Amino acid sequence: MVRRLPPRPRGKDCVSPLIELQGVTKVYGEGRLSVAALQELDLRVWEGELVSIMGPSGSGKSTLMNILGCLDRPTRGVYLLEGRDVSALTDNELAEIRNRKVGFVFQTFNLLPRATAAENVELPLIYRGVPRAERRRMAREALEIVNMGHRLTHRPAQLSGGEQQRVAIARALAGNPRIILADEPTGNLDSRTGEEIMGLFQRVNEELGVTVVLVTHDPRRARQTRRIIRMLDGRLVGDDPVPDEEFVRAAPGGPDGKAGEPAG
Amino acid sequence: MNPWESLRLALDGLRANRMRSFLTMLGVIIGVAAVVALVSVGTGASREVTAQVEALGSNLVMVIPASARGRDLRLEDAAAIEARVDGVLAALPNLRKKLTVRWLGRSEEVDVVGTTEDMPQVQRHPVARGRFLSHQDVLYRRQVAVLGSRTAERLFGPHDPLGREIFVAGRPFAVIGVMTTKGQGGIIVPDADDQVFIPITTAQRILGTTRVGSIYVSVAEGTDVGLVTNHIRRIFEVRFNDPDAVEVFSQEQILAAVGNVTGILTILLGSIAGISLLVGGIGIMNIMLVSVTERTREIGVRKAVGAKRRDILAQFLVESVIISLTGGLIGIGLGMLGSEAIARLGRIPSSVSVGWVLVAFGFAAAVGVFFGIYPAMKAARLDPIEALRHD
Ligand SMILES: Nc1ncnc2c1ncn2[C@@H]1O[C@H](COP(=O)(O)OP(=O)(O)OP(=O)(O)O)[C@@H](O)[C@H]1O
Ligand SMILES: [Mg+2]
Repeated sequence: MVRRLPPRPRGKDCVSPLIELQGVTKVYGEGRLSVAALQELDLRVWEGELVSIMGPSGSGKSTLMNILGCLDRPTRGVYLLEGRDVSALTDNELAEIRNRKVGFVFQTFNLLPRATAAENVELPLIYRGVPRAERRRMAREALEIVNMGHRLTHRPAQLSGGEQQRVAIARALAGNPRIILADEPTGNLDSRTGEEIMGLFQRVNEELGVTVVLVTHDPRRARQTRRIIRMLDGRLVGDDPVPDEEFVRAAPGGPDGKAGEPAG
Repeated sequence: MNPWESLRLALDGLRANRMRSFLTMLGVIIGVAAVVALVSVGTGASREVTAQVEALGSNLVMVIPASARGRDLRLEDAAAIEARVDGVLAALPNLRKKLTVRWLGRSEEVDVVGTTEDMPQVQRHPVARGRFLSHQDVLYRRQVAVLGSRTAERLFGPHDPLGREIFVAGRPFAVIGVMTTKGQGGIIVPDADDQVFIPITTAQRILGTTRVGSIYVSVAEGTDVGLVTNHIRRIFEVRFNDPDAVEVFSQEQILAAVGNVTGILTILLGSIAGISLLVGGIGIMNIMLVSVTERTREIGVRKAVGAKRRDILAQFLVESVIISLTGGLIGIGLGMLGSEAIARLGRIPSSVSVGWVLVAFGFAAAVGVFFGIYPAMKAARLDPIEALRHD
C-alpha cells in the first residue's frame, strides 16, 4: 500500500485535537414533544485515532456522527474541527467541509446505482472541481487501496455487499479526508465480510494515518478499534482505550492477504 | 462544479429514463411545432392577401356605395371624378355579377365584369392575345367579351377562343381577346384570371340597371392620395347631400385594415399553440417532481460528499432545460414541415418567419426554466440526513 501522507503526530502527542465537542446538545422538535438526542456532550478525538462508538438503540450515536460529519449542526454547544468552530456555518460552508475533510461510510453503502465503481469514487472529487483525468487517477488509486482496482467499471448491482462497502470506503478515501465516519459499516454484512471491512479500516488508519470513528453494536468490532466510547440517552457514559492485549486484529481477508499483517 | 459537469450529469439522468424523457419532450415538441406551423400559415396567408390587394393596381382609390343607404353610383360619377379631381388618371366603373357563360355545349358560372377600356392600365393587367375593349365598344354597347386566361381554359380547353361566339346570360358575345395570367386572387378578392370582361354599358343593359357597383380611381404617381380621397368624398357629399353616402378608401387603408385582421389572427393562432406549449411545461414539472422524489437518496449521497445547493439545483434545472430546448429544436423542424404540408394541401402559402421561430424557441427555453425551477429548488433544499434515510 502506498503511504500518501507523511506520518503525522499521533494521539495525545498532538497539540490540539482534530475534533473537540464542548457541551454539544442536539434537540429534535420543540416544546413538550422535543427529544434531546445529545445532552451536554464533551468529546475530543485526536488525529490518527481509531475510535468506536457503542450504545443501545436511540442513544444518539447516529446523531453524534451526523454532527461530527457536518451533516447537521448542534442545537447548542461548540464543535471545533481542526481548531475551527464549525457549529454555526452556512449550508454551503458545511458542504465544503464534508467535501474536503470528511469521508462517510454508511450501513447501506449508498452507492449511486447507475454509476460504475470508479464513477462512484469520483463523486466527491467532482464537487471539488478536480479535472477529469486527475479524478480518474485518484479514484483508481483509492480503489486499489481497498483492493477493488480490478472492478473499476462494475456497477453496484454487479458487486457483493462487501465489495460495495469497499467501493464506499474508497469513495470516502478518495478526497484525502482528515476523518472517516462510519455508521454501522458492518451492520449489513455477514461476519466474515465484516471482518474484512474492519481489517480495511485498521489498515487505512495505521498505514494512511486517517482518523476513523465508527459506530458498532458488536463488542468484537469495538475491540478491533483502539478506543471505545459508550453512549446512553445522549450522554457519554464510558470512554476507554483498548489495551494492546485486548485489541483484536481483524482476520486476513483482502485478496492481497496483507490486511492481517501488523502495520509498519 | 463546472457547467460541463452539470450538463453531463443532466444527460446521464435523462438517459437513465429515455422513454420518460422522450414523452416529456413530446409535450414541448407538439407545442413548439404548433406555434411554428400555425404562425407560418398565418403569416403566409397575410402576405398573400397583401399581395392580392396590391395586385389590384397601385395608387388606387376605391369608391363603393355605403351598404345601408341605398344610393347608387352611376357612370356620370366616374366621369365627374375623372374630370374634376386633380391627379386622377382614370376612374374605372365596375359592375360585377356571376353569370352563366356558354360555348357550344359547355356552360360555366363565371364572374362577368362590366368595365371600360381603362381596365388594363388601372389594374395593370394587359391583354395576351387579341385586343381589350375599346372606347367604341363601350360607347356603342357592343356585345364583345375579353376572357381571363383561366376562363378561356375552362370554356375552350385546347381550342382558340378568338373570334368565337359565346353566350353570356343567353346573349351572344364575340370573343375579342384573352388576358395574361396574373396568378393572383382567390382569398379575399376574386381570382383575376377567372373573369369575363364586357363593356360596362352592355353589362348595365343585360342586368337592366343604370348603376355601377364600384369605381376604381387610379391616381398619378406623386399625387397625395389623401387629398384625392377627400376631394372625391366632397363630390359625393354634394351630389347626395349626405357625407356618408359612399365609402372612399385608398389601397393603403385597405392594406392596413387587412394587416390588422391577419395580425390579430396570427397572434391568436400563436397563442392557442402557446397554450399547448404551456401544457408541455406542466408535463416537465410533473416529471421532474417525480424524478426528484425517486432520486431523493441520490441527492442525499451527493450532498453528503459535498454537493452544494447550487450543484443540485443546476443538475435538475439543466435536465429540464435540455428537455425543453431539444423539444424546441425538434418542434421547430416539425413545425416547418407541418406548415409546408398545410400550404400544399390547403393552397394557402406559408411563410416561416425567423422572428417567430426565435420566439417559439425562446418560449420553450423559458418554459424549461420556469417549470424546472420549482422541482430543482425542491431537490436543492432537501436535508441531506432525511434524504439519506429516504427509501
Ligand atoms: N430527525 C429526528 N427527529 C426527531 N427525533 C429524532 C430524529 N433523529 C433522531 N431522533 C431521535 O433522537 C434519538 C437518537 O437517535 P439516533 O438515531 O442518534 O440513535 P442511534 O444511537 O443511532 O440508534 P440506532 O442504534 O438505532 O441507530 C432517538 O430517540 C431518535 O428517536
Ligand atoms: Mg443509528
